[in-house]
Amino acid sequence: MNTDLMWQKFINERDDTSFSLVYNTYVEALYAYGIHLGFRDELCKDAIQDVFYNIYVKKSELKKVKNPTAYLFKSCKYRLIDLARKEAKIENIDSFDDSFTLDITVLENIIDAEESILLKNKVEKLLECLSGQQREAVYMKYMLGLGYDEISEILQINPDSVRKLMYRSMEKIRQNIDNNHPEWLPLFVILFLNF
Amino acid sequence: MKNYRDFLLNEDFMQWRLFRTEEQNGQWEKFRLENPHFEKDLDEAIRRFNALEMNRVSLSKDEKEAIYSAVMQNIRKHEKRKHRLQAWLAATAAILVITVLSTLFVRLNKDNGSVLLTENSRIVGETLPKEEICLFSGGDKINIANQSDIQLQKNAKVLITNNTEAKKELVLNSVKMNKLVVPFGKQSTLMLADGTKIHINSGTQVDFPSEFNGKTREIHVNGEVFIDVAEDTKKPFIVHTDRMDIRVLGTSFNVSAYHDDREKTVVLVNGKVSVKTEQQVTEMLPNEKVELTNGQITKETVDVSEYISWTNGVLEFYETPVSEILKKVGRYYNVQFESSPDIPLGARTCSGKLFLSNNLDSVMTSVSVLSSTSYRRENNMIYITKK
Repeated sequence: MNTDLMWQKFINERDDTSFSLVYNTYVEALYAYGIHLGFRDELCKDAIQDVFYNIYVKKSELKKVKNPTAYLFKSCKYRLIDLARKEAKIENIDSFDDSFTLDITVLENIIDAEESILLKNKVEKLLECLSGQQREAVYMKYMLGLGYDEISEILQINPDSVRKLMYRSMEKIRQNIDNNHPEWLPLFVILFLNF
Repeated sequence: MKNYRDFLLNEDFMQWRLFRTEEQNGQWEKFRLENPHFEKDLDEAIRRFNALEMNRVSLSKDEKEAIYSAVMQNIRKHEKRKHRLQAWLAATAAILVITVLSTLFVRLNKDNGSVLLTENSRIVGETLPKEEICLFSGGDKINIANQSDIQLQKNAKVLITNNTEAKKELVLNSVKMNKLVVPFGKQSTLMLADGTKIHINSGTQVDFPSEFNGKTREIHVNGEVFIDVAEDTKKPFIVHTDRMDIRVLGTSFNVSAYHDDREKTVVLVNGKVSVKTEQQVTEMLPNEKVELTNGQITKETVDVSEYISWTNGVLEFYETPVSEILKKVGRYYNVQFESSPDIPLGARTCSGKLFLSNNLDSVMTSVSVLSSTSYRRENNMIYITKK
């Protein structure tokens, strides 16, 4: 089922069945997101528990939610920060902003093993130069399919800054390739070589 | 170009797939149009690139279930807390609903006579002309619109707010008892001088003083009321009905006592009341119902919502005989039912909720469906027939 349809069903019917569908669709991705933001396993599970409890209990507020994916990821992130603050008290939590990591995996049923390793290495190299926030934005765009507006809500910066962040990321990647991987050829050269 | 791999592992291609900016989309669309011979390879590269995922972490089935059941447990706890809170809110004021067999209805009944009660096929005995709600105070008679709020204030003043929010202020006779008569088909709420709030169901009469000056607070009820008693431990609240008195010991309860109901009931929502008849006195616990039949008291545990739902414009039933349901509907809308003798309405039972809307026909449609009967309406008379 389409995630938006499923969400609508949950908002309208509020039964345990549609709730568990929403839960099962998002639980793993939210957990992975928390872990890659740099939070402990235990804390991630607690935050997920709170997020789902809240969406079940705070029924009326959810009608305004335009994009459930963005809403859930945002809720999860800020719940994690709150929980970590409570736990650490003194520690400076602002450092979380730049700690987002990206693990690349390639599903091997579509692609053979050798090729998947090649692709994985190349993409990792491509993204290695990015900052935590830039990696987080790439993750939102690529994995969650979110637009600039939605990403801006999660990162708490304005949509224009998200656009700039994306362009700066691409620029950085380009420079990194020029400096460190001169063996990589631009597409037009490859095309030229082959004809 | 040998194959898709040249695209797949190309830096520009990878960046496009990762960022998909509008510019990139435009460039690649253009490339595709200009190089139709690459289309197949390009599509294959896109398909293969899609195998790439970020931050895949798997949770075991057990872990997922553990989080889910923790969530559900918290939700159930929350729901219980909410219920307890609602119960507590109800308990802050006492609630009382009474049905008593009484002679107080003589005035209401004499026009139509009680002959109707003797005919078995007639379920509701009272059909009244378009009578108004009346407040009698001393020698004065004040007509009041349906669904009005009547609020007693200091110095025997009374504020009447009707359903269009129009307000009217009057001064009552401060010595004598006042009498509020709510005919069939009408409902009203009354707030007494001490803050006690009374929902008055159709066909009910309440006698009350303008002020409570004595050691006790006493009112007389005939019909059905839902009383929300203001707490005052120094002045006990006593509800007198024809066959029994209910003494409120800091509590909430519901009494129903109509002269045409053979059973008079007191249902306690919260707190503690004692019920006194000529023969005996019994104390009640919350969710208990005391029934007085032929002078005999029986006590049982009930779901109180069935007895107080009328205050919210809903009738709730649980395995209730259809004849009972029609009696309540009849009172509310001021109509009378006649059924063909071959339909055992007393033996047929229904469970569910009936919304008392402004449209009697929609209510009757629900009743017919529930009881598998048909109905025909002529003014205040409704004939129930076989389907």
